[in-house]
Amino acid sequence: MSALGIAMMVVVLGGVWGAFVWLLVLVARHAGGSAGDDSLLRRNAKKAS
Amino acid sequence: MGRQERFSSRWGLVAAALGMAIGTGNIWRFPRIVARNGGGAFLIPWISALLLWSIPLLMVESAIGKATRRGTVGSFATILGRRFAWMGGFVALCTVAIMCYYSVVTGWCLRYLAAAFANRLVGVDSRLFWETFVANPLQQSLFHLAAIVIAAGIVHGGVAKGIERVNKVLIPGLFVLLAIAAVRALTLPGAAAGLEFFFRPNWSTLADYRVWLEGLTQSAWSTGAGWGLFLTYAVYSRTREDVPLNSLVVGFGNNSASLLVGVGLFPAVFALAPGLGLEPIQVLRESGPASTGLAFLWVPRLFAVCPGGRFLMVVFFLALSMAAITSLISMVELATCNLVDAGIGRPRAVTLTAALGFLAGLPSALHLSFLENQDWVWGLGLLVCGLFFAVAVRRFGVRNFREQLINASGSGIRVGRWWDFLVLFLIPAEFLLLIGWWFFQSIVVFEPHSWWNPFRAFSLGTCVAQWGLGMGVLILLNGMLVRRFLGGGKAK
Repeated sequence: MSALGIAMMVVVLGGVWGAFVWLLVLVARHAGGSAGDDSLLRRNAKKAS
Repeated sequence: MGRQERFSSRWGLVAAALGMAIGTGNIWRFPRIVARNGGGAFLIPWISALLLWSIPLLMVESAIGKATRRGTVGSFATILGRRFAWMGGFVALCTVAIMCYYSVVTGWCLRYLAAAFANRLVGVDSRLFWETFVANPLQQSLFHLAAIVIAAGIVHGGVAKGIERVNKVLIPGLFVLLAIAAVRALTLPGAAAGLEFFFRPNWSTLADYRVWLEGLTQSAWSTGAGWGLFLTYAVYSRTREDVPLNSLVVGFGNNSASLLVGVGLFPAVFALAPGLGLEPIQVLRESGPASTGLAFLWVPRLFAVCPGGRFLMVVFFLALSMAAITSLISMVELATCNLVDAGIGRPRAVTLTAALGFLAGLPSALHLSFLENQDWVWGLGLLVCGLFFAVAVRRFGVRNFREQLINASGSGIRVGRWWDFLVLFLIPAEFLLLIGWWFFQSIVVFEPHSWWNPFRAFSLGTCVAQWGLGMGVLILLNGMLVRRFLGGGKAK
């Protein structure tokens, strides 16, 4: 494969798959009980106040 | 049952929503469109469209469903006002019309899966196999019936015990199957050439406006944004759900699945096609009847000559069937949800939906040209639905919508003012560009001598006639829709 092809593959797969995995981790943090995790919620509440 | 039902966890909602988004379009349309639009460079407009059309609309749908707890008709009447119930009706009409022929397509996937299991695809002329199958009305009808019965049976089981439970198994399973196929394909000699074509950008193609419009179209159709499907699942979401996060997961999950398909299919085709004296790019580009070229004509022929090809064929058609079924489930649920709003009990609503889907899908099962016409008309209709969602937000007040419904309780990710611009200006502009371009294609390329004729498969006239008829009836019945869907539903 050419260097350009490899670079594009790394950027696209890293970007899209990386974002998907990161988002799944965020979902996992929220997935539990009724309120879910709160780190992001707490941060937002602070911002809002 | 009814609106007391909820997904039991966020994973349940996310799995169901991914099942809704990931369908046959990811597996057999995406590689063809990439191949036709210059390979790697196409990925740039396609990913841009995810951010500029699909994800903002998924957020709108999710927020509306969660806030109103009603199907598409009741939601539009609630958000836009009672005079606009017909717009929700049009969204339902488009998606239900698609459900009818999508069930036929799912039947094809099941037929090929059965044939792959029975090793009936190796050593046969794949084109002859396809032609024999589509020329057999009994087989077509039976597999169409099997598809709609399976989907309706799962929906009948309920949201948590049916839809959620099945998607929690099928969606991770689908990713595993696609990964297995990709690993096998990447180990074939000559596979690197496929990866090179898939990823190496030819920058000059980005100067062609058609590549951008194809990227936008692929994203709009593939993610299911604007179809009312995510709205329907959001109706059953728990109170504290994160609208932006869930929408982002669905959008990026859909694109991740498409990329995984590409990582498997492009190397496989580039490794296997030359051995049969075929040009890989031509194989990938061939549309075939009802766009079946790659999946049903070439994959059986190519995989038959590959070491371990039978196993690979089973994996491919199992993944394709799973993707199709999970999408069909969401369409059946959309119709069911609306019927429940109208006061019909859920079991009866599912049965009615299945019966309608089977009967209205029969013409598509028996005549490919009818299916192609329906795909053209209602596929474009979905773009109109996307515009309707943007209009709903505008009328509600874009800032209020964002603050009250998207950045609501439970949202960990806050959406900023950039979203207002996208929904107010960019999505309507994208709609005008897309619809204008597809109508231009109809007039100049598809039906140059009879673009006005409503009886031609790909004419502008057939779109206007079928949409006009649908909208006209829905507008005439608007008062009745409001009474039934806002006033008469059991599930309040």
